[in-house]
Amino acid sequence: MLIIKKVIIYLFKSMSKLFSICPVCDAQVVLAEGVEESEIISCSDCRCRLVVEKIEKNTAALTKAPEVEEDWGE
Amino acid sequence: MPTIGLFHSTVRAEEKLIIRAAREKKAGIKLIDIRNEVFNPLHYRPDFDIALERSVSTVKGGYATEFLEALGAVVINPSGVARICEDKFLTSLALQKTGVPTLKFAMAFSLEQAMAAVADLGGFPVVVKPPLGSWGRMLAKVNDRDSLEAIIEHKDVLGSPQQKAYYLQEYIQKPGRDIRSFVVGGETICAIYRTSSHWITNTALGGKATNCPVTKELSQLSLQAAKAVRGGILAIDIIETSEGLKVNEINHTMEFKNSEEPTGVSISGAIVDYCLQKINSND
Repeated sequence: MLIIKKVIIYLFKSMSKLFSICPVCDAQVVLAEGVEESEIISCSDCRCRLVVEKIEKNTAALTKAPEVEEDWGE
Repeated sequence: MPTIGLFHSTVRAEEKLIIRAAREKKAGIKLIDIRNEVFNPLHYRPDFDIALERSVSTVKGGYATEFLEALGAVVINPSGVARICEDKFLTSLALQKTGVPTLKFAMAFSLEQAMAAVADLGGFPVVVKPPLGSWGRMLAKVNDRDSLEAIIEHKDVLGSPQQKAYYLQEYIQKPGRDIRSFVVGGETICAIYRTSSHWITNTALGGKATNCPVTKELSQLSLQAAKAVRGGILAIDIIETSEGLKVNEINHTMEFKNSEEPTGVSISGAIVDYCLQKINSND
């Protein structure tokens, strides 16, 4: 019974995670909980910096992040 | 429910902290990526009660602020504050004009004038900085005339027009750290030491943040500096010198993700509270 419960929790957590594909290396990217559109993340495979462009249901559209520009800062 | 329009470009950890703080305080928060907006005054209808400008791009953030203010919106920080803080020369002028202790500085547009400025500043070493810029990028500690010639030639050949205005500042031997204090709405809410073995102590370059007690002296200096640039939500960079504390720079879209944990102060919460107070005071 405990095993079934654990499997159900695992499946539920898997389904609620956001997945996408790295546009640079094609690896599957799992996005952290609470990720926001326009946030920059890193691909765990190729380590490229990626922008979360759009979040829909449990998928996210990613593009390669721009280089740091001259006027970026705080 | 009062709504904060969070004008952003790249969402950093700081924006996420602000979003979370707003949701915890049951305030409305509308995320507006300025890169997706068309700022046409004939068609734009603000649907928020106050705008919080948090663009990572100074130029885009500046135009967004000017635009929103032209429509009558209240923006934090206002364009007048941003204009001074985004430019190190204007910040230094504002601090000097109001008698806030700061480092000696000068602006020059050629090698000969830069050499004269170095003499005025007390000789080498000096620090050459781009007037616009952040995160400790393109700062140079210049030890002699040969280095100054090389840096100015590189800027002249490779730089944008902004890079061809040379902001020079006296070099201060720091005790391996500087101080960043956070001022929100006329109160110094907390401060950190930024410690690094490098002469540039920015946390963006690996400087370590630890809590810095807010003494009366530190608080007063921070408030004076904030007042000199017309207040708001600001991070004041301060150097410990043999002559006491001196203000180095002021940031108007400050980063603080490394500062909440060591200080134990919710800077994001204070930012949201300040926005909500501003909404109430404008009602």
